[in-house]
Amino acid sequence: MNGTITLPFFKADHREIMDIRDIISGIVCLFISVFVFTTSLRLGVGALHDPGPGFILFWASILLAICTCILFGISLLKRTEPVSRSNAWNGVDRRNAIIVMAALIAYCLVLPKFGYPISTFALMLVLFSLGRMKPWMIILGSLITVLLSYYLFDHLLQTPLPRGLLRF
Amino acid sequence: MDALSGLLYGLSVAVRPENLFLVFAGCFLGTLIGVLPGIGPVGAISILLPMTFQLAPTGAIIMLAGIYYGVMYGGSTTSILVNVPGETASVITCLDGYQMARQGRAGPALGIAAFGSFFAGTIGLVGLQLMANPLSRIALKFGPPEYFALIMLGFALITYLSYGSKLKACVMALLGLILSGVGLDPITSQERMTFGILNLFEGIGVAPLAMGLFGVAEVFNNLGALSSGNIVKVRITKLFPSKLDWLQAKWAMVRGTAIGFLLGILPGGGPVLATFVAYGVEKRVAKNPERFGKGAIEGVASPEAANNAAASTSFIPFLTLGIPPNVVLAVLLGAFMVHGIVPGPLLIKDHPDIFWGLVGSMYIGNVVLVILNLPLIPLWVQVLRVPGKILYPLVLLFCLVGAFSINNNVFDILVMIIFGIVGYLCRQNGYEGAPLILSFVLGPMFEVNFRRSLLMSQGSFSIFFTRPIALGAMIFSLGLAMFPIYKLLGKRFKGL
Repeated sequence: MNGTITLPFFKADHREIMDIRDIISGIVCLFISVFVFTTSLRLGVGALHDPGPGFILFWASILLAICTCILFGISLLKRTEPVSRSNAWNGVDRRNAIIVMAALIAYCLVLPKFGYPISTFALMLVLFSLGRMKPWMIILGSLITVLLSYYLFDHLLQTPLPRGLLRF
Repeated sequence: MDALSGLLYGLSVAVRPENLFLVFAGCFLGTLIGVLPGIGPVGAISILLPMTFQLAPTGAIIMLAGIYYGVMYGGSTTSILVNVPGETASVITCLDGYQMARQGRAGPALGIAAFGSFFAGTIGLVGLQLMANPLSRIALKFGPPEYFALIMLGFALITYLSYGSKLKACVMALLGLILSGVGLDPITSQERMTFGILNLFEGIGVAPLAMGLFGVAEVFNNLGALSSGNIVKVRITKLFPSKLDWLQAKWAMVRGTAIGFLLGILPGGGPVLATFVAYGVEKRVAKNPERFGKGAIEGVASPEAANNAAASTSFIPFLTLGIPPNVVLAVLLGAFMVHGIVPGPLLIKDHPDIFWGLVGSMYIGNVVLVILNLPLIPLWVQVLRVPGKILYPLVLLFCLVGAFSINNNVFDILVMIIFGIVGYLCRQNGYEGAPLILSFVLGPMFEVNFRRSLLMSQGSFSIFFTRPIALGAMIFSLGLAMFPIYKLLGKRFKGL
């Protein structure tokens, strides 16, 4: 998938191409606007002389839906150059970003249980390994980072870092 | 307290040893972060904000202001040496600054940037000092309609002046407004979109949101495609511009200062816009405009002066009205509130030590930055040599600990990561984070003042159009909103 879709009912020489990113982001925004709209009705929009808790959310959701629909329309009508559009996803290595996101979420889950030193050591192992360094450098670098940061934040800056089950 | 006695009082606060140290630390850390490509002032303040939590409010705010200034200075170093802007306001400096470096004139480029910034920053501070008191007295007469109209103007400007799609900027601003509604309703205390999560009762924290949207998202961006600027392999010898350089640059500095001074005050303006306008003006008035883009010293002097003048004067509406005119100060507003300080018309009266101490420290900070920037250039060059695969994990770690230390709560780390993912996806899809964070910070004020205005007027919108200041701001906002449509229709009619 090169990140674009081709609409079949246009002629080949005037093929309209729509970036799939615009479609997905538009759908997400529409979903958010519908959710906020229904929430605002539940909260109570109130009247002009006495606006309720849902008043601003109500109008914000409507404007969001309108802007999203306009964006859809513009994306649909705008002619694009096939050569440049086919490179929509080139040059963007998302693999590392996805690994880091997963590692960070896992870090949030284990941090209260295992405490700062152990959790952070594991996280730094993952992060440094993405740089394709030698294994001993990764382990040593992670260890030094954890020790120095623990000293800096816990002792010098008095930040009460999570202790975890092992109480350190 | 008049301006001069206020300044003297402020200097007496700023020269206390602990505050002097914090000025120095803020400037140093801000410059260090500003030198790093991609992590701009918002990211820098977000990342370094937790360091100020243990400090007294006066000291914390002095340090934050130093960080803000330092980042502005630091950004120009990478622009000139590496052709990679340290932050958005330094983009323009790349055009001529890097060319000067390639011609073996990195020293004069860095020197003129530093001196120009010092000059313009000082002028901006004089403006802040003189205008703050009168503006505060006027602001005391503002009611909810005036505040609402000014915030509306801020929304309109930040959307209009965004660099990408205006419509996408509008979408982000609306999302920011919606996110600001999470928590308890400010008037009725009803729960809104908390999903039963206790941590959301007070709303989403501005610090983890900003750290995620700008700091963490930037790290994600650089993990996938590491920016690799080539450090200019020239020895940096003379740091002081020659007599000819001064002759060429002096009026450029003055013009840049004037442009930055005015644009910094406007909501939605700020350093970024000022640098672009200053460069454009300089090219227009130059006798040989073809020199621009090829190492014209005016192309460095003017944008850098505009940058720092705007950085100073943008504090005027921020401190006196409590309305942040740009996204950086929006984050700073959140930082102030974390320390229990509310900028606004009563700040000078209720907390003169904070206000005047801040002004005094900014004068000192301006001097510190000139002293720091010139001799420490070799150090900043070394920082640029640290590989991204080591640097960015460390930045990420700093963000994680910083987010945790806000409330000693892992939930804030989760919020930061979520918004880091959101910020990363937004960049991939052409959505800017600045409109979101600005409307998020202004959202509560926007809503409260809007609802209060309607309560006052019994539901009539005429209240926004019968009061002069509100009327002026509303007309300007509506004009800005209609202008893109007018341009589009104009193009269509021309084509017919």
